[in-house]
Amino acid sequence: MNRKRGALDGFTRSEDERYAFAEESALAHVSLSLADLIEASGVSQRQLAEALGLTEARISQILDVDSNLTVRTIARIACALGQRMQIQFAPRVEASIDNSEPYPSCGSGTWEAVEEPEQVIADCDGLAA
Amino acid sequence: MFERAFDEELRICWMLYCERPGFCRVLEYLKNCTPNDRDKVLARMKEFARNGNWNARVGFIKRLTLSERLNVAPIFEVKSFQDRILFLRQGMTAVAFFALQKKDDWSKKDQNQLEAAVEVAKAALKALGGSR
Repeated sequence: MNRKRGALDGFTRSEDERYAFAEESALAHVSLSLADLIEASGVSQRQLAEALGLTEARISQILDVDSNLTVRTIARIACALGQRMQIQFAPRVEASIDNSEPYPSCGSGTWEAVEEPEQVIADCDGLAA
Repeated sequence: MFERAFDEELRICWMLYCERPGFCRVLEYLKNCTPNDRDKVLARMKEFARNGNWNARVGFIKRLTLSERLNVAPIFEVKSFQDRILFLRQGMTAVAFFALQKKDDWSKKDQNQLEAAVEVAKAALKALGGSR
């Protein structure tokens, strides 16, 4: 069954552009995952660089989405942090989105501010009335 | 006025701020990007939201000093080459309110864009229920 799309889901893509989007998503995902892993390990970028025989600048570069890492490099970083790399695949959500209708118009929902940034707004559907 | 950005359920919910019905700066900006540049931005926005870490130490998500200037909710940017999407944090919701192209050589035009961004941020915050 087709789903209602968000405002940014409506950009149509050619087959080539779909592949490019998938590449970019994967690169961003890897950068974010590595950054989280390094943060969770409590190891500084300097310590990690020393363990891998790299410079700190290279570690920073690795955490940049544009660095286009190899699987070998990712595996080495994981190993240095006492982890192993594991790849997961999931169905693309946009494949089920209905692109036949124009962009939805802006809603006029109201929004109550939260006091603490950590507080979770569980359901934001109501904002897009 | 807010509009949901992506249909997919992500750890961080992306919303777009519309200054008036039918007009969202971020959407207008993205419409004028090339498909390639637009996809880079959108992919980064989605992966950031899927990951759910506001303090992610990656090069493409930054917290701006603009927040201090406004003395309000944290303001972040998604960076993709020269494209920038500015957004506010509200709980686990990211509210995109401005988009701009930032070049290495800072010009008067860039400064004007930033000044405009501050005004839109203020309006977005007001719509969100007031500043803190």
